[in-house]
Amino acid sequence: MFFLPATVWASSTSAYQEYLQEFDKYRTILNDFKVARAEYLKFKTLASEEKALTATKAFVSQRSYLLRSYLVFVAERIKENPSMSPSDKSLYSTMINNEIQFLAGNAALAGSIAKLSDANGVSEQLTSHYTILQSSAYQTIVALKIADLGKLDASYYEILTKSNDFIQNNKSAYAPETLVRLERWMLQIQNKRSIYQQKIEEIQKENATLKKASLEEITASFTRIQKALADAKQYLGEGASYLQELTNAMQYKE
Amino acid sequence: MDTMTDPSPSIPDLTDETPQKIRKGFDIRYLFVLMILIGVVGGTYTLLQKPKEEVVVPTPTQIPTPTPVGKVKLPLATSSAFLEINASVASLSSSLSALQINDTTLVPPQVELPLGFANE
Repeated sequence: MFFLPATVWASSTSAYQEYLQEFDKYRTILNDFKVARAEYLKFKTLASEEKALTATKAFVSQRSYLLRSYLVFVAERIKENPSMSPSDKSLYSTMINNEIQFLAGNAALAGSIAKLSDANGVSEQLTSHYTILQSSAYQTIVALKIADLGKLDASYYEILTKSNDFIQNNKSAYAPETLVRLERWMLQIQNKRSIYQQKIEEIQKENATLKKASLEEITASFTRIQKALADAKQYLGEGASYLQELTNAMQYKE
Repeated sequence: MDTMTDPSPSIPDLTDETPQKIRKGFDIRYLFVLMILIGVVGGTYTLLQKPKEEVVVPTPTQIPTPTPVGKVKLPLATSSAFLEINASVASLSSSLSALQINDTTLVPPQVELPLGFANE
């Protein structure tokens, strides 16, 4: 981490710190809001209503600020990711920035709340949009992880190709049975990569359908995708272990 | 003839022997000495035993490939092309180990959505 360029290190780290600060504020304001709401629902007095309105305005604003600070952090992570293609960076940055703009609008509306029914309206605006916001965040997280794995897969493929070239260029140095064994191992390493690629394709398909689902389905789907990503990583890990065995064997004639 | 003897057998006088002495077949002090002896023998045996060696669970190496013994490395194993491949494999393995799939910092915050008032 200390070897990263200072600007890269600073931007996502400071965004994350800001997000954590907003989360602390949110917890305090949520608590105040719950107390004021309970008093109002119990006593229904003008004083308790006034107090509830003030607490609700603060809560609705802070909820938007919290989500906004989270998305700013995610946007920074997209910018910093060295593995993501420029087109994917543009796609997911746009997606996240749209949500940031929506939240800025929602927070601005919170300032104009004059009575509790207004607060309900502003809150409902976010509630109805929340599945899109949540799926955008999840899709971006998955895309970041696919990009990270993709970079390692590219390295895996490069090593496999170089190993193959090396063996083919030095065929005469190996015993015939060693050559057969090395070629068989390379095939197995290639097969492991194919299984990895199939898993990534499955993940990409499921990730693309996240927006069409309900909030519960989105969360369940994200959990499934995370498991699949872990599987994909494991396939690459097993393949890397095979590559290590291959390079060890490449040093000897027999 | 007054030499007749009494035909009934004489009954020995037991009045001198106390009843306690007869019933006392085992002295309690012997038991105490025996217990001490058992303790000493047992303790000595335990001390003489070798301490049990801890069971060391072998940690599997990342790549359980034994180094071929007696095999001679090919000259091409020191070539720059091979060393580059070897270094790339090591780099790939360490990058894979460092990659976190479940990045908790990226998980979205859970917020309270319905306000909980009427007409919502």
